[in-house]
Amino acid sequence: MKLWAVSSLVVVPLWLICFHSVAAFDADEFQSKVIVTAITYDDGFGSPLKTPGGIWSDPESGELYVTDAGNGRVIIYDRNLASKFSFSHYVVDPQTNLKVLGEPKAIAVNKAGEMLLIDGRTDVLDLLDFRGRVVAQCRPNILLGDSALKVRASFVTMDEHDHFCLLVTGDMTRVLIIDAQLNVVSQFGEKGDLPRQFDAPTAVFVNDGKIYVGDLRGKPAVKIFDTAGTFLTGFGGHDVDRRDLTFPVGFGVLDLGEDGKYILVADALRQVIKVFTPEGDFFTSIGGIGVAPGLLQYPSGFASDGSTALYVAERVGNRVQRYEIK
Amino acid sequence: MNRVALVVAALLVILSGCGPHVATTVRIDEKIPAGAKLAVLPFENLSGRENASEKITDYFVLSLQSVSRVSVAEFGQTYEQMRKTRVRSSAFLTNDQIDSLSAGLGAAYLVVGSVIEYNEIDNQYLGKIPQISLNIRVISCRTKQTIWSSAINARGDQGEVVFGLGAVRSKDELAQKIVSQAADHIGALVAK
Repeated sequence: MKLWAVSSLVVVPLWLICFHSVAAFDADEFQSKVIVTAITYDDGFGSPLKTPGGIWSDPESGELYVTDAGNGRVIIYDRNLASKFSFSHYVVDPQTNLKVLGEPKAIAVNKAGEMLLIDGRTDVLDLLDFRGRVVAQCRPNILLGDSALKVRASFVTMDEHDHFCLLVTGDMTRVLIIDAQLNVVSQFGEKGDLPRQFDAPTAVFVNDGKIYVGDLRGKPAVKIFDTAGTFLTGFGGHDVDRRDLTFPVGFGVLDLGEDGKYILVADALRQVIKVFTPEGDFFTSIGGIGVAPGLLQYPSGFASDGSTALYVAERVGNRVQRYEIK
Repeated sequence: MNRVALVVAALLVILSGCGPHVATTVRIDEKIPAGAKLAVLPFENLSGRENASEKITDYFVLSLQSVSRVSVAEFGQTYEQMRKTRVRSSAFLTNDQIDSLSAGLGAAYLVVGSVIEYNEIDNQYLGKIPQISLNIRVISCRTKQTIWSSAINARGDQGEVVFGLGAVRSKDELAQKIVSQAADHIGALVAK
């Protein structure tokens, strides 16, 4: 009896310590720490957002870039969603050859402040300086070495070498890595049904030496490659499991230090941001459909600042929300 | 012959005094010290005309370089400093942005402004004539105050004397004239 009592004094606390370490940050606790700290519905001068799409969080300057497709412009906010600058984006309409207001769709920014902008009205990619002036242009088919290809860039992000990482779809499906001089550094990917192939890729993200590609129809829904383009693994399907996704539109990462690192995926049709461990295990989700702060109306763009803040642009909600993990 | 020469001379005298002019000037009493460095920031383009602000900015940099007793930062350096500090617009400069530009360029004064109009209008007799409107400010980096500002509205027919003589027909020519005059006004701020 005495032995049991003594050993329980040792074993029980040890068990509690271990259990406490494993359950230091569970899903409920995570949910309780997620709060919306800023929302913007306009450009800071009273002009409302109209179908905002792409979003980019610049770690260099702490700024947030939002493509406001319906208004043909890009808006730059500070990290608290106070507007700093905006510029209109014009393209040459391929039908009429006239200069018209574009529909900026996706954007990424390198360390020099140069932006690579994808516009829905043209296949031409614009490299813009920090004030939004065009400094160079290219076409994805030229980058792929075949001017006869009918391809378009659909998503852009940055890799860890300050290169632009483009998702190209159409006659050919590729992930293209290009430098600031718009030279192709590397490329990988092909269309198909295999896990390492793409069916309808929608978003790409680079973190910690891995390239994540979201796929609307292909399985797994999130495919993970190394920087050489070798398929490593994947997670999620398109069914009703918690890990499953329908329309991944953007990725982010949360690094909460001792509380762990998480990969987040915004799903435009499920109206949620799903939170996964780096191994692809489902952890929790944020959002849900609705108009109240914290809820989502067709998220179209998603970004994280790499530590504790998330930004979501909503195509139907016509707003940008900032979530923080407190 | 003497009469003809007299008329021509009189016309030349009249023409030399005419031309587009700085319409409004507000002056605050502060002299620019001799040897000070000025930096011209890219003018904002509110005219809707492509490249209008680039031209005006370029003309200002050139014109101010001929102002004696001050130096002007190379525009490339100015632009690079703006890039580093992500200063995109000179219309809404914060104190921190002024400090960072001043420190990076060694500039004591910033020249900023906006191009409001840069187009052509119809003149009954002259046909198309240029019309340019600018707002210009000189900001002290030390006090963050505007020490000089001007609103310029100029038309190509303002200098016309008779039968189109003295009229300015091209936008670029008009722009160079009014920028040159504005630079002279700024030059007059420099302490002797």
